[in-house]
Order: sequence, then structure tokens, then C-alpha cells
Amino acid sequence: MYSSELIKGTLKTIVLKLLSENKRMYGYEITQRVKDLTGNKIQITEGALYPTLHALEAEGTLITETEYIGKRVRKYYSLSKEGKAKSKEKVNEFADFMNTMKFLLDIKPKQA
Amino acid sequence: MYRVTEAQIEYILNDIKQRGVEMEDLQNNLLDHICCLLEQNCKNENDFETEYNKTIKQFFKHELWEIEEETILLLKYKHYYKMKRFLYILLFLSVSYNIYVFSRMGYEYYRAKEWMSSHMRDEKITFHDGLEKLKSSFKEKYPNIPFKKYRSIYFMGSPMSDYEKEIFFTEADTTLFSPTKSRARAFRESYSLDSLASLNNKDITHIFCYEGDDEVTNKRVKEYFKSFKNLFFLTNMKSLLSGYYNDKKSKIWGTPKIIIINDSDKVIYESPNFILNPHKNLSKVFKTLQK
Repeated sequence: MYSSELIKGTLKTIVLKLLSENKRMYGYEITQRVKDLTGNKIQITEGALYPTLHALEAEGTLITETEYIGKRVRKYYSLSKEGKAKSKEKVNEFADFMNTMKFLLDIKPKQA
Repeated sequence: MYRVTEAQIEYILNDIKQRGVEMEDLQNNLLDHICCLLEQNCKNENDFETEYNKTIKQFFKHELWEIEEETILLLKYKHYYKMKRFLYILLFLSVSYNIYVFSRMGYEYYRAKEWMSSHMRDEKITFHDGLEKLKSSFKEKYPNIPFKKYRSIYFMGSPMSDYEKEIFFTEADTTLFSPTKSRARAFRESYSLDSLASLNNKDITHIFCYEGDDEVTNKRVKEYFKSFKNLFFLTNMKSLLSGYYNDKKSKIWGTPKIIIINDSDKVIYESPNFILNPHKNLSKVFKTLQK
């Protein structure tokens, strides 16, 4: 399990990447997919996920559709046109960040 | 697989509401998520209560409404940037508008200044232009009369105080002119450039311009005019002025300055702003004129 600080900083990127690979997903599905893909190493908490989803929806990155599952409502999230571009941008940014961190963390011990 | 019943859905939704989550959208999200977890973890209906209590706790650290608080915070954060961008646009528009308004005000101020003739430079230009016009029209009408030497004083309106009128026009004959407007107009017309030129064929020494509706002053001015050799009393002030004033075709009122120009076209006297101090400088003016 990674620390919540690390996950919080990458949550948007994770959500956007997952949605770029799936047409639409609902909250629980996202948490389960992340859990499965990472072998339980990353567990997204509901307390972090839903505020992020709402914020992304509010800024127009995500679009939503609702479906009734019996008496309850399920909200599906998918990427908007801007969201698709943002997803690529976020993944590229994070890849660059990882390379920088890799370089930084690999080099530093050697210098010391 | 276990299915959460409608009654349980109702129970969960009520519990979410009671725990302080007010956003309907968020309530539905949490409800569905909890139901999904319960359907995964419950084997039968008997497990519901235990599983629900276990499940709901994983949604928060202290209270469930913290999720809503976090959501609102993120939405506000988003709005903060929107608002910031809006404020920048507003600031830009405001600055642009102010620049426009101030430039417009400046322009209006300039025009107002010009209109009031309160700016010395503008006044001189207007005066010189007017004088040139006067000279050229004079030469055109009377080509044989030299127009070389002149001293000029001009003002508009009724700049003299009663005290000054007493000093300069001691022999006022109020019966000479009727104080009616038509007579006053006739008086002014009789002292137009043409009349003056026909009265005096010598070199123009002084040109005294005045336009006002004060018949008494007009009469006194005329008297004053008589006491100077070759002094021309020009009532039709507009013939002296050019440019902006004539374009406006408006009545000229008030005067900011008195300027006296000598034979070499040099300004030998300029009064301070006449509007601010309309009467004090006349004595000095006439003394200068008499030199």
C-alpha cells in the first residue's frame, strides 16, 4: 500500500487514464479496477475519489450519465472532449515527473 | 450474489443524509458505492447490519460529511480560479474603460478649456488667427489703407466692475442708447469692422473688441474709445475669432484673458486668468494701452 499523500497527488491522473481506456465507469468500478490493476497496492478511498470526480465534472473534464439500478441511482463518468486531451496531458506530465524523480533519486545517493 | 433490498437502500440513504451529506449527487454516489460493497461482502440479509457498519466507516476518518466538505472545497478551489480569471478580465476591462474615460475626459477637458479660452497658448493662437483674419479682411476691403501698426486689447462679455466703469467712463450718458436689445444690437452693428474702417482711415493703432449685452457698458466703451486716438472699438467679436469658436456658432461668453500686442506682434501684456479675477487687471491694461 502506498501512502495516501502519493495517491492523492496522482488521483486525477489515475482516474483520467482509466476513463480514457474505458468508455464509462462508476465510482465503485474505478476503485475496484485500480485495486485489481495494482494488486491492492493502490486503494483509492471513497473520501478522496468522489470529491475529485465532482471537481472534474464541474470543470468540464468529465461528463456523466445516470442509470437506475433498482431504486438506487448509478452515476457513470466518461471523458469529455477536453477531458481526453487533459488525460494525455496529465499522463505525459506524470511520466516526465517520474523520469525526473527517477533521475533525482538515483543520482543523489551516488553524489553523496 | 447478495442484492441490497429496497428497504435497505432507503435505510442507507437516510443514514447518509443523517450523517450530514446534503448534496444529492454525492448521496447517490455514496449510496451506490456502499450498495456495491455490501453486495460483494454480504452473504445474506443477516450480514447487512454488521457489514454496513463496517463499510460506512471506511468512507471517513471522523465523520461522513467530511467527503462533502472536501467536495465543496475542491469545487470552490475550481471556482476560485474561475473567479480569479474573471477578476483579471474585469480588471482589464475596468482599466481599459478608465483609460477610455480619462482620455475622453481629457479630451473634453481640453475642449472645455479651449471653449473657455482659459489656456494661454490657445488664446494666443485664437487671437492671432483672428487678427490675421481681421487684417486680411481689412486689406481686402480697404487695400489702400495700411494695416501695420496696431495694439490690441480684446475681451468679451462684461468684464468691468462698476468701479472700473466709473474710472474709465466717467461721462456715461445713459440716455444716449436705449437699453433695449434691438438698440444694443444696432449699436454693435454700427461699430462693426466696416463702420470703423470707414470712420478712420489712418493706421490702426488699437483694436478694442467687445461684445456684450450690457448697453451701459457698451456706451461707456464707446466713450472710452473716443478718448484714444485711432482706437477701434470692434463689437463683432466673432469676426476676430476663428477656428473652434466659429465652428461652434455658439454665443461667446465670458473672457479669460486680456492680451495686448505691440507693433511687432509681441505680446506686451497678458492678464492672469480673467475668469478667476475678472476686474482687477483692467487698470493695468488701460495704462499699458496708453503708453
